[in-house]
Amino acid sequence: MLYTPPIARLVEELSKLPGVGQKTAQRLAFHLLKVPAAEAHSLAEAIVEARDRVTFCVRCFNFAQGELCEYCMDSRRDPTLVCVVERPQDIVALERTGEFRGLYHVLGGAISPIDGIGPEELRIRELLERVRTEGIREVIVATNPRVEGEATGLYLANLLKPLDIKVTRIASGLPVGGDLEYADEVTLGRALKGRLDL
Amino acid sequence: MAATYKEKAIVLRAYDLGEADRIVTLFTEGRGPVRAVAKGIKRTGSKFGARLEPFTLLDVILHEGRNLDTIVQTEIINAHAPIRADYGKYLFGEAMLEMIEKSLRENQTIPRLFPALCVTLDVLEGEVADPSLLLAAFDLKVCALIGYHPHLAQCLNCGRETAGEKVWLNLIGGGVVCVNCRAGLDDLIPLAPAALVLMNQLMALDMAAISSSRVSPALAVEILSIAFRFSEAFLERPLRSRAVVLNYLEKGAL
Repeated sequence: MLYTPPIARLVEELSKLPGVGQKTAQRLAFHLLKVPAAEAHSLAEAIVEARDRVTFCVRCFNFAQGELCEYCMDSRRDPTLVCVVERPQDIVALERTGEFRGLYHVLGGAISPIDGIGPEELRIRELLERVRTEGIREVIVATNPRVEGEATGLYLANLLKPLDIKVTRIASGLPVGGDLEYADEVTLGRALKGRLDL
Repeated sequence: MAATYKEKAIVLRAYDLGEADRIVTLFTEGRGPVRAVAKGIKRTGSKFGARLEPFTLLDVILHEGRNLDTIVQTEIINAHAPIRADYGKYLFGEAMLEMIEKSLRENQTIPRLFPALCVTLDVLEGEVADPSLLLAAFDLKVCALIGYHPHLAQCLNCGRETAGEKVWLNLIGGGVVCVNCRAGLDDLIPLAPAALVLMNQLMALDMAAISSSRVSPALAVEILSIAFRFSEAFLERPLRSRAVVLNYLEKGAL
């Protein structure tokens, strides 16, 4: 046996984390044994607390601490504007911009037939219900600008436009600090299509 | 010493690897399917941009690795944008990509399969009267190219000509059996004369001709389901995109 059983268990559990191999798990385990006990206990408590107390918002399916997430509970936000994202992490990225003051809806992925994911596997039915009952005027599709995200956007547009609401897609184009010479045809083509008046 | 090589390839699929990398499955012209790492592709400033999205036909330079090769450089030949811009075409196209991905082992090359996929994607991005027929034909033709050509003219067992009569497709045998020979056989699909004629046509016609063909919606779905079952029997595993495509044909939008 290489380690005493508690260390072996810790290494084994840590190595189950994404992107953590056996070596990294070993390094993390020895680090946790070296830091003050209070620090290690705090980490353990944070994991337990997050697992026990974090649920999904019943309205938008973002992570929440109660029935509704902090955005759905915020009365200063515009409830007629809903931004549709693939995962809760995408909300964090959008919030960092400080540009959006509406609500969100988390689909739980994107339509990907090759992975066996069709519209039924996503929270599209729930979005449709929100549009019908919450007086939503505009749905912004902010799925990832990949083939799967674009297809999901097309599907949502086909579904929502007959309901007489505005359906928009976040713009895509050149990254700030990029160089035209190295841009691919698809991205550059979109940047041209979505050009703005100066 | 590790070598660098250049290939013409179609992107079949991509999945995440760690923080910013993705593993991309490329169907290359000279080496068959190759799984390779695209480093940093998820970063907004990545040199790859949209070049490694599924359906893209590209020139690619790869560096051989011990486990996985690494993508060094890419240049788009055809992004097949019309397929990506149409939800229905996207579903049928994905089913074609999965058929190729699941039919071959890594680095397995089959003559004529790469051009067959190129031609089919080119046809799919144009006007297609019924994409179900195109997908059914693609599945059957891929099976034939790999060595599982469906025998539809005579009974597999007695060799009798079966044109114009009801037959049964024997999934294990890879062809049709007549009414007299079907007793005691498992995995049989009944095939009406119209379905048998259509299957023969799909095998004989080229993709451009199939793209302008039209039959009743019920017969198109029937022939597509038969092609799915035939290819899955050959591959000995289900393909995940099939259920999504059939659900779309059955229900359309939610």
